[in-house]
Amino acid sequence: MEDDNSMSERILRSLETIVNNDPNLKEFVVVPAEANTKNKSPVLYEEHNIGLESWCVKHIYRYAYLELFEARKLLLKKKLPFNKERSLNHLLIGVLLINPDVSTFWNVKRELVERDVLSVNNELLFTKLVLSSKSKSNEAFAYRRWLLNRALAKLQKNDMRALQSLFDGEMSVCEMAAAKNANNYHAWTHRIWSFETIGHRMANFSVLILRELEFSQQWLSQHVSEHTGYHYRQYLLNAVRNSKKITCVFEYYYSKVVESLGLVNENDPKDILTLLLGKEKSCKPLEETNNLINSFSLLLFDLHNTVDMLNSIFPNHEALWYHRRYLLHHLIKTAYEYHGLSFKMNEKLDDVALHGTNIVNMENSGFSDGEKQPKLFKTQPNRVESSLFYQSLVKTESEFIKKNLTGALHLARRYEKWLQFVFCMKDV
Amino acid sequence: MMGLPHVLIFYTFVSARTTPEEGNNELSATVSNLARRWWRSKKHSKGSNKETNSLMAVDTMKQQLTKVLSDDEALINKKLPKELLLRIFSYIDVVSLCRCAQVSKAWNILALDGSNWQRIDLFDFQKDVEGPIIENISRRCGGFLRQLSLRGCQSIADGSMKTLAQLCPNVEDLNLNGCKKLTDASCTAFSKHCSKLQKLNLDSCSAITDNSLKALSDGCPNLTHINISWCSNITENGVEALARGCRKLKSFISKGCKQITSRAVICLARFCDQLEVVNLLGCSNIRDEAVQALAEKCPKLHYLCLSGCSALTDAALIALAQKCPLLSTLEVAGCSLFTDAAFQALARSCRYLEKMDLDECVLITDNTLIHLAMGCPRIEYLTLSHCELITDEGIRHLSTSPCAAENLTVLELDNCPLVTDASLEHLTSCHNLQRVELYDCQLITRLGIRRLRNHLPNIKVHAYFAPVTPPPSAGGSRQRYCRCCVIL
Repeated sequence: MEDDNSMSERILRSLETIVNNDPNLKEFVVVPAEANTKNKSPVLYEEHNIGLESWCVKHIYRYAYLELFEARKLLLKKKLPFNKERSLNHLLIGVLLINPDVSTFWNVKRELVERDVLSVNNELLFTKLVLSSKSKSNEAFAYRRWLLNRALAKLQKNDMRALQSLFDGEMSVCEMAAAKNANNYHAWTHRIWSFETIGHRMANFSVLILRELEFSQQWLSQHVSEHTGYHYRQYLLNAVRNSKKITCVFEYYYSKVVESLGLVNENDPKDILTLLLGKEKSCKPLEETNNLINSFSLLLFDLHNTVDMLNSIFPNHEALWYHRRYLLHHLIKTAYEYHGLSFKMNEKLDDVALHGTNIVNMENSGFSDGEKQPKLFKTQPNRVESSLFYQSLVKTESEFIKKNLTGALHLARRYEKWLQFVFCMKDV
Repeated sequence: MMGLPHVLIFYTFVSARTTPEEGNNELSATVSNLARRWWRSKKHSKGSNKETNSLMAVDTMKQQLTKVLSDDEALINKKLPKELLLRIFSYIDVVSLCRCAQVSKAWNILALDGSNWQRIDLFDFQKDVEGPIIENISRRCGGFLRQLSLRGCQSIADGSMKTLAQLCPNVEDLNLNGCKKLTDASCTAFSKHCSKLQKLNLDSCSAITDNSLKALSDGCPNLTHINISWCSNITENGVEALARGCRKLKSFISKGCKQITSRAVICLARFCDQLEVVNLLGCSNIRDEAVQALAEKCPKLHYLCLSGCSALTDAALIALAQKCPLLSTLEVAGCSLFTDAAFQALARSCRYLEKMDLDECVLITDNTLIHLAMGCPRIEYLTLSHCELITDEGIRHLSTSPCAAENLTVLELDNCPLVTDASLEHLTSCHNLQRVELYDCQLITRLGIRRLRNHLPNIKVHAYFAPVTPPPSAGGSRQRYCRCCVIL
């Protein structure tokens, strides 16, 4: 048994040396190898990638696990000698690379970071390596956030370059993790978190958000059926709407929308709102108007360019339809806000309106295809519903549904029902 | 059981700030309170047999204690004169002494008498030791203190060292390994007050500079052992000053001091001809002339570590071979320029070699092993890691030599790609062999290792082979059957 331990120790040490000396590590993988026929190190290291042959995994994991729990007892009592504190990292590296879902070990790491035994930068690199093998590890993301909070607290206020490099690092890690595993909500949540915590401290916020919008569009065109990507885009759209920091009009999106609506590029971007939605009642401050224009043109851009285009290339993807629901909902909501009216969907269904699952239940709840709308919903058309924009929206939606009846009958029908009953859009 | 002694040693010395006569009541009150609280908290934790036993022991101890405390003149104190008690205390370890100090006023004075505290090692309490403790210890011990080890006590700073130097002028052996806060001020204080200092360990005190060594050379002429490993600020100037002042130096250890040059070592050799132990690990600026001077001037050298001094060539080793016949340990890991010729010379004259580390001496071949086998019958520990030219033939010669049969205990052959199972076959004749390293020797097979184990059942063979019996799974290692089922 003792021989076994010295082998594990040696393997763990060689892993540690590689992790400590190579800042450009890309990936860690456990390479399947049932038995070792040769007396050869199971640690494979090539072109900044680490591999570990699987036969040794159970041995080193067992060894490191037992050692760590022994050391942890002392660590908690603050009785662990200084030199022992320093020789825990190789155990932690081994254990966490094999199984990153043990919070205890991450907590040991946290304690060592707090005692300045481990450096934040090295730990950020290490978690990246962990995420390259287990990209859905929430523990690793949580530890990363903890590290970032520490790093941010130490950062000088005007150190924009360090902030930028932190931000870029997070974005690349999230992209890597999201690409490794489909529907990796942990990665996207982390992206949102980083965007909010780091991004909001940066000076060039509007540049940042434009870059992210572009990135997310790129991502969507490659991952059509992953709802996570749409979720992030929806977050970004909301961020644009709610941000107080964006003051200029996004030229690119604005001109695209003008083009797709078949209009001539007006001198004043404000005119597009007047044209589409009618005259507004009270004059709003410039930032507010710009904000409205931005979010309106983004939503329309998504509706016409992103969703329509993607749907024509990749028909029959449910996630796309849900994104369309989101867009429509927010378009109308923005229109109501423009007129200063309060926007309410069918109140009873308000909470569930955007979630597809409940629409299925609708079919059993008394509404059927041909049935007329209940009288409850019949009201006088208000300023939004009488606007040019609303009319054209109704037209495009019904066209869209018709177009898809052949390819994606089921989804199209569902969407139609949603528009009619939940969204109260008549004449679709 | 670890908690109480720590608390005691801490409070004994912290509250000893007041003089024993007036402060004793207060002292024993705090300590007994503390002890009581400690026991109470222990009581609430899971009770096991051991603990209840010790609890009972404590109850009886408490009874005795109250008895002793109530009688001013307890029987034991009447029967035993103070001198004898003191003599008994002088054999007791630190923790027990602190316990005894809690017994009564009389015992407190006796137990904390400086004469019992001549040799102190606080390594086990490194996390608890802080400045005031050292100051109180030095006040208690005064001139009695001879030996103090503060290895790993990182919170110690210059202030407490100054007090120590002033109050304990007779200290001879001081181990400050890893006290990172210490600076030159401490060493200046030692040089001013502690002229009897013989051994000083400043390993990893990274703030130490040349000024410390200059001060030591002025004030501590009796210095025989010095360790300045990993003090990366130290340069040749400091070492030169030290060598001029402390001519009785026997041991000089400076691992990882990259600024030490050949000139420093030449100075050391010229002034300190008593040197026996020299460790220059990682001093990569050392050249041949330094080792030649060392060999020339210090014939008593028996331990020499030159690992990582990669600029050294055969000339250095040949000089050693000619002038230092007493050499018993030679570590030259990473000196990749050494060839067979040097080791041939060495093996011919240094017959007392016991430990050799030849890690990454990539040029050596079987010839070196042949000469070592013939010339050095005492070899116990031999490292040949990364010596890629070593073959089975060399191992065969080694295993037929006189050293193999009796002395050889550890042989490291990892990353020697040419070594095969045949080598293991030869090694079966080394009866004393306890450990063989074979990592990454890819021609070695499981079968060969098993055969070796059959001949030498107690040997540890380290290789990248998983043990045959699978280990029990880590963590939730619950027994699958209850004990009675196993017995049945």
